[in-house]
Amino acid sequence: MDLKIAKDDFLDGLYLTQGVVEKRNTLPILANVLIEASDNEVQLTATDLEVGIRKICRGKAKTKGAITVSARKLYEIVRELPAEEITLRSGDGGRVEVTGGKSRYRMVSLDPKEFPSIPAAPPVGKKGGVTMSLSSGEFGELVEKTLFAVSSDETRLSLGGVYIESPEKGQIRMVATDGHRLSLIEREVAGANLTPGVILPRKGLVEAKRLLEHGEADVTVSVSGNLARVEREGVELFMRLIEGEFPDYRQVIPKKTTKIVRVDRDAVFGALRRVSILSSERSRGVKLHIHPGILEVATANPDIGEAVEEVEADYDGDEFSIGFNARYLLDVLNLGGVTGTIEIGLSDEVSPGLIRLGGDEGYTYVVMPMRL
Amino acid sequence: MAARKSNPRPPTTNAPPAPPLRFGEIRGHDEPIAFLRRAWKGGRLAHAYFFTGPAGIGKLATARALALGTHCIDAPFEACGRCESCRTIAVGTHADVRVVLGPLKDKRDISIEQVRSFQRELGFRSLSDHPKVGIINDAHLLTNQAQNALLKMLEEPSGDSLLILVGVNAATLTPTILSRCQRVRFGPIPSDDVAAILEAHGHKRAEATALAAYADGSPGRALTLDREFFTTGRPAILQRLASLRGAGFKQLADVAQELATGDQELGLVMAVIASWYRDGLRRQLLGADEPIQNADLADALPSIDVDSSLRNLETTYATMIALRQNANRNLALTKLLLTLAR
Repeated sequence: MDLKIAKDDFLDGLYLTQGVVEKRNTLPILANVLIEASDNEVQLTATDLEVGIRKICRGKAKTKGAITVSARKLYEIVRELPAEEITLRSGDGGRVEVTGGKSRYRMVSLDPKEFPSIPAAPPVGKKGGVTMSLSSGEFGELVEKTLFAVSSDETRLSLGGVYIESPEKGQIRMVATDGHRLSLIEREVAGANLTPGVILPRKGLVEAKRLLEHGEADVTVSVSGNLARVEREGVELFMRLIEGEFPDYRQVIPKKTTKIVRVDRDAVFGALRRVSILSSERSRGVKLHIHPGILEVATANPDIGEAVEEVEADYDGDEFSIGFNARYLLDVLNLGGVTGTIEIGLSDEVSPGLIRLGGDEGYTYVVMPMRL
Repeated sequence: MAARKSNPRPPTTNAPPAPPLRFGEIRGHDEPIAFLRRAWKGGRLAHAYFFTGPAGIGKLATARALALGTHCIDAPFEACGRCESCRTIAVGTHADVRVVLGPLKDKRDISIEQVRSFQRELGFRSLSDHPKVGIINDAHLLTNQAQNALLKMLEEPSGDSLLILVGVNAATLTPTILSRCQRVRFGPIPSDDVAAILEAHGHKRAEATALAAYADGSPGRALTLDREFFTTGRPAILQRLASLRGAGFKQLADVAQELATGDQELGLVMAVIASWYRDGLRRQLLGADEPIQNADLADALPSIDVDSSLRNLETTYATMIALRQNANRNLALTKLLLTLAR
């Protein structure tokens, strides 16, 4: 292979591979990026067998071919090179020569034939695949508002991702839960028709989030058989789908709640942060005492002390107390773009709480109470 | 200084030590392979197998061959060894084939964390439209907790997957695991096959035959045997034996002391001594064409009568048993040499 490639474009691609490549270094080739050069296109691929990324870069190949080199080292090299154009040339002894300006590197290349193969995108409409187009902001919101609630429990693999389905044509619903809280978001998305739903892995969505940052762009999301893909401006991120059944989340969502408390997001967020300083490190438990007009956030920790703060609330029912893990409440209040009035629906001290954000009908957060 | 934060998830699939064999290249296990072939042809492969038998005889090789065979694009079951599937399975980068080769470095057992990583890696939908294959080698080294973690996978196999446990025996596996795996037994393979495998690994023919004779039908064991011992140590011991005929007690006791405290594993020394008299007996009873273990040293075989050979062999075996039961090495060997020197 003998190839000239523009630095900025190449560096962007290498940056994207950094989160994807395998870090445990058990199979050295998975720490590598595969670079394939054809006539005037260069394709970068990196994968850890769970998530992969592919980017087409501008480049001119004198001779075609493929190499694989350490993604991390190549990224560091290219980032530092002052030149506008980088040359990659495969030399003898399995080495690759990287040159830019007056710098020359020789790097070890592993056999591209050992690089895992990732099935190319199946033609749209075949094999029951679904493709939808939306903006990076729209998809970013869907991801952000569910990813944080994904379980990290390794014994329940099917909770280790976000469930995505179409309750109706033209709608997308994404759900994540860890058994203590559940986050559900529903949005109108043209072309969405994903039934039955599938489970997208956490790592894939973390990378998707990274890809969706940096300005608005059109994004294509497709799901087919065993892979999901997210494409943006010549970059294709693919992730394997988690096998197994997502639990029936509908059972968890309370049909109706008898007591509804409306509070200002900033006020309650601040109060929770301040009060939870003295909550127990492990359970992070805080108690909500609800009186007409007032929401009182309190915690008592015999080892450290007590804290209490009152927040103005729109409520005129009976007096009432319930305990929650402060982190679960803070997580949802801390989501991007959450402002104004928060609606907390409660029934009694053992029933789950239902949180809605500023009149957003498409978003539902359920959090289990704790006994304090 | 704080220790560098270690990665919480241990590796499961290390790069395999050698490329996998195809079924056609595996020697001595025609029966289990035929059994698997029948099951595969009929679409009746179980979702979990336990391959059991002595160490080093080819259980893992067969499990890896099955992984190749179920995924090969060009030659289903028999495997081509060249297609994309075969190539990536060989180097461990196939997305649907995961192998735990054994305990991590410096560890004595396969931990629950290893099993969890393994399950996580197999927890995705198959990319290849073939069943995912998970292999756990040295499954007898799974900790109890690791076995319990595995149990869930065995009880509710998710999707299309094939789990193969490979181990020397079932003693350390819980009944709950065993009852959920179909057991496939592997036996020792003929010495000729062991020798052929050794030759393929670059041993010279004579050396291969000699080593194979001591390998108990296990090419894996043959490959770990000390070559040096067989080329120089073994002839030295046998020469020593020959020189002891009619020797006095003092001399015998000295040699016994030497063997008892020597560097060489006593079990091997005893195996060599036993093979020597067995060879002698064989030649005497069955003629000069009979294949023997120490073929390379045949000229030096002891010229004693059949009764003496039998007596020597019996005493050697009795001594081997006594040594295994922790008899005093010095005394047991002196007693043996007194008989052999008669």
